[in-house]
Amino acid sequence: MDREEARIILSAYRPGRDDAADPAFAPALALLDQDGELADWFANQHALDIILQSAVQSIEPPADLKASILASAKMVEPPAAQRQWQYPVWLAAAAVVALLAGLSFLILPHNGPKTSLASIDAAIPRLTKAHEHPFATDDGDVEKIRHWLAGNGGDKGFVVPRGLKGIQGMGCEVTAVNGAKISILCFELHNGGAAHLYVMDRSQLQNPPPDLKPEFQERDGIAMASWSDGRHSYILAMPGSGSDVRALL
Amino acid sequence: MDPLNFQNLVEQHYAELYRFAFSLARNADDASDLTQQTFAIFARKGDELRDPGKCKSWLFTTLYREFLKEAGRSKRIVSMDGEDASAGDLAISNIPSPSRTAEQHEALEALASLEESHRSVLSLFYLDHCPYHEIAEILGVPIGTVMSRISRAKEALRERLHVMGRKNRE
Repeated sequence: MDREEARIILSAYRPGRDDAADPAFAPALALLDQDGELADWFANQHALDIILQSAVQSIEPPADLKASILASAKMVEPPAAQRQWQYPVWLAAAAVVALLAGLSFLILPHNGPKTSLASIDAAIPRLTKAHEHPFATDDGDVEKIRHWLAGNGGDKGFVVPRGLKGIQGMGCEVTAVNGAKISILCFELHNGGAAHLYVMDRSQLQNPPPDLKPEFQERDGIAMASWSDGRHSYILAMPGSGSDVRALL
Repeated sequence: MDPLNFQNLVEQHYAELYRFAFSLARNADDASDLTQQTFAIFARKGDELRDPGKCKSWLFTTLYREFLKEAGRSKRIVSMDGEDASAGDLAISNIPSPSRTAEQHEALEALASLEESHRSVLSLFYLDHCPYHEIAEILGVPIGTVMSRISRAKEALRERLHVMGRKNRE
């Protein structure tokens, strides 16, 4: 083994970890005793590793990320084993998640003017009935909609309710109501009608809807459900009744 | 998997996944989205995982693949090729961390300015408890490639830090 080969191998060596017992490093480590230049290089390398390791560990996730992850997981179709959740455990977990998400939202600072949820609610029937979107899919792929939104100033980290899984996406757009940016996803229902999912960053709202527990209302013939999942707030709207929109959650 | 196990899994890995995501995406919003998306995929497909001991590497592998998919299509996650110092500056300034030292800050800026293949391998290398054979599995490359890539990435990082140090002195 020459010095260059030893350097490549020792670049992947992390002192203080299990690497010392790894036979892949043994010949290169043995060379340190015989090659002073290599030993100096290794000492410098180790100093750099210590700085970088502490730097990477200094990256802290946002305070509300864990609550958002747990809340989002409840909005997607769970694995088969998860469908056997015990009700009290589910309820306790949901309460904790809702509490954490609520607290984090109250504690964290939010910039910019806020828009009232009522003003957005009032605009939903008009937006739902307009039903014309600049982007349309030809194959119903919701991921294409997600990517279009991401590339056009919309949201992309949203979670589609499990009742809409398997329903074809038709199109989408990004719009604004009273300064609040809204991503709109349009879904083609099996009866030929359409449902619209409105996605907003909850920090834009003065009074975002509650976590996990959708609120229902009807306006101008449009049934609506609204909820939040930590970072995002959602409104699902469609012509029909509360039971119609509830079936899509 | 029951919900308490899922919660344990999130608690155990979300911070490290976020660090990896941040090193890749170089901004807090995309890093949060990637981390959240990874667990959402696990919530849907986790029961397909036969070996529970593979959860961690499954999560990191999924996050990395999601990043590559997004990076290939999205304009928000930038710079797959070449080095981009300004992107690093922007990203690091987005994370509040009063306890971070100037040295750590400079190191993160240098890391963020590296090309993607170097950032990904080094961020995994510097995470806790991520041995090089696991890095190979996550990145989908042979172990030998991981070793040589770490070596090249560290060289690039050292050069970057040298240039930054020179600029700071001027």
